[in-house]
Amino acid sequence: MTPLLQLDSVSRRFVRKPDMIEKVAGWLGADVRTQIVRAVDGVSFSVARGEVVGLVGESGCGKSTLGRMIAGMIPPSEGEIRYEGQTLSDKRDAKSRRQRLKLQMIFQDPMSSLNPRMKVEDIVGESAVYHGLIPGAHKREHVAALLEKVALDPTYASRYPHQFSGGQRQRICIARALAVKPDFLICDESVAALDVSIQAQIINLFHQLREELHLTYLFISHDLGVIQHLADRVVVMYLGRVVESAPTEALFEAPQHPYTQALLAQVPKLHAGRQQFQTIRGEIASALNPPSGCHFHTRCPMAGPRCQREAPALVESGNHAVACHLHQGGTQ
Amino acid sequence: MSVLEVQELQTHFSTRNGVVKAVDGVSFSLAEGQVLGLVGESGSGKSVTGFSILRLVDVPGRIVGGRILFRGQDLAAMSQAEMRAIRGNRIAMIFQDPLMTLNPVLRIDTQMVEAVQAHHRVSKKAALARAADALTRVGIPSALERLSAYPHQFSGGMRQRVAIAIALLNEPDLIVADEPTTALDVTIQSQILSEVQGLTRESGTALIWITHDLAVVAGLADEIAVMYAGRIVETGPIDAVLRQPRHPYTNGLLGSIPGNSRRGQALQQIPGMAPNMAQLPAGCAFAPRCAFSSEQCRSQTPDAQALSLTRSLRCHHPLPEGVSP
Repeated sequence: MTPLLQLDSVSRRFVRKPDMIEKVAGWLGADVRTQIVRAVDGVSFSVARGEVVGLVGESGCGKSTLGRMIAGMIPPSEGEIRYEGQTLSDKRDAKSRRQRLKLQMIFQDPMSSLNPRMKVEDIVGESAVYHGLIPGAHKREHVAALLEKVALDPTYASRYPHQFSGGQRQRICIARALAVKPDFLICDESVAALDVSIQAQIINLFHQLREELHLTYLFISHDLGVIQHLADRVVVMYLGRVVESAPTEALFEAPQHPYTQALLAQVPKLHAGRQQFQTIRGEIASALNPPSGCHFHTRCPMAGPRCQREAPALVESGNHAVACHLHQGGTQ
Repeated sequence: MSVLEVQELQTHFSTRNGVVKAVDGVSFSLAEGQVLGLVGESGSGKSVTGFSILRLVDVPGRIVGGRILFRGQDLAAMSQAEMRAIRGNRIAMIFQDPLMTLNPVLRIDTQMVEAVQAHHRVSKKAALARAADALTRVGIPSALERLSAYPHQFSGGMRQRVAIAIALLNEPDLIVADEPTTALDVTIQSQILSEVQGLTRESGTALIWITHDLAVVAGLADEIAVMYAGRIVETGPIDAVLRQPRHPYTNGLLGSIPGNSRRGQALQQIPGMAPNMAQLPAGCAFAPRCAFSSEQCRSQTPDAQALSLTRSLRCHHPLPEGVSP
């Protein structure tokens, strides 16, 4: 069976060209180069229909950029993203548009992703009418049904976003994403800005919607607890590359990449009693100037000379994939 | 001997929509070297409690009642000048966003020397040495060189370390930390926590760690105080409270945390949302969201009752012992 979503060595570079002053400095002999950030660097993985994949990493690891590429908001610089076997394109023809509608994104901050001057019924109903999924006359019922689905009172349809609390706003965002009947939801830190008790409500809503609507999720988060709770499979990224990918239980029980091990060891735990917090040295390196070889070698306690020279490939054994020389013939 | 004793603290904000009782009768005490985790959701009054201790509450907020005894002196009754001698000297504060603490146009050394010389008559050279020492203690490599850098030249985690170093400069008796690791990545948070842990142990500084993250406090604090709508609803030794919460809100909070225990199942959720602080319901503020609420809860505010020498609770219907979250 072909997976629902397939990423084939997808990369995304961001290029910053020198500005006017830097160009002048360049003419005068200064060393001015275009700066290139490899935000996502050769990422391949696939998502099966009905699966929840968690994408984990620290800030700057490229997880949001990857989410945006899958949602079709920015094109990849290299590689291919296939949905139901068809390459995602940014063409404006009817077929590509229909395909893109199947993938919807929910963002972190509901206040900045909702237009403050629009009423909820327009925010939620606009896209379905525009894309011809429902006739304009049915907008009101469509919106009411969606609001009920996300447990909001349908009478709220004529209110504005500022009249809602954070959790309710996130529900509006979810209703808006569901309005075009998607199969695939990309949730980019969708519960990170919420209080614990509200976060639990939204997580439960995601659960319930998954069962009702047979949705597939890509859940992007830095919160390992949320990922562990929701995901079937976890993909761990570090500086633009996938370092480990495995079913959730296998990953949390026996992480194989030193970075994943460190991440898991450092999550504060509720019932561990008074902890001695461990540290891995240093901070995530700059994507502008990533370390040679394995990006993690500067912080890795197990790094050897080979790690500086060559980048490890992501090798799969069973359904557990790791990109680390330790598991591929040693670090010497 | 207790470093800090807060008694029935009340901080109110008079707004157009009425009086917001952001902190309404909060009491706790803190011994030397002790770490208190002050936990609550947004709007529960935990930050205002922290700001009140340093008398940093701005208008329209005002401390309207209670006493804040710091080594026996009432901070709430002090003049601004007396307060200035204590702030940053005997009591220091660490804020959530280090960019707001640090002046972007001054070098780190200027800011640190200023903080030392504001309270001690020492030479600039001695102040610089002390600053370098503080930076080393929070784990900043090559501290002497880093002193002449500007805040924007540091990463987020490093900036927070600088902010902590500034708090440590005058070897305070008490540090109030308001969500200092919330904006940081897991690995950086863990580094900061490990350093703070070491520092409190070495120096015997008392610490109030304000956070919404129960898991952070679980590994760090000795005591925990859970706030809801301006009141401490449950307090006690951290292990006892987390293992066996007696207030329905604490229990609900613990059940809301995603993780391994309930993988794939629905999380236990607290229905509804935090109340509007300007229009608090009569009686217990948590009653509308509480599964155990009764007529008594809706009419009568529960008083703090001691469960044991160290634990206390504000609830008419505490959970029975032996119920785990």
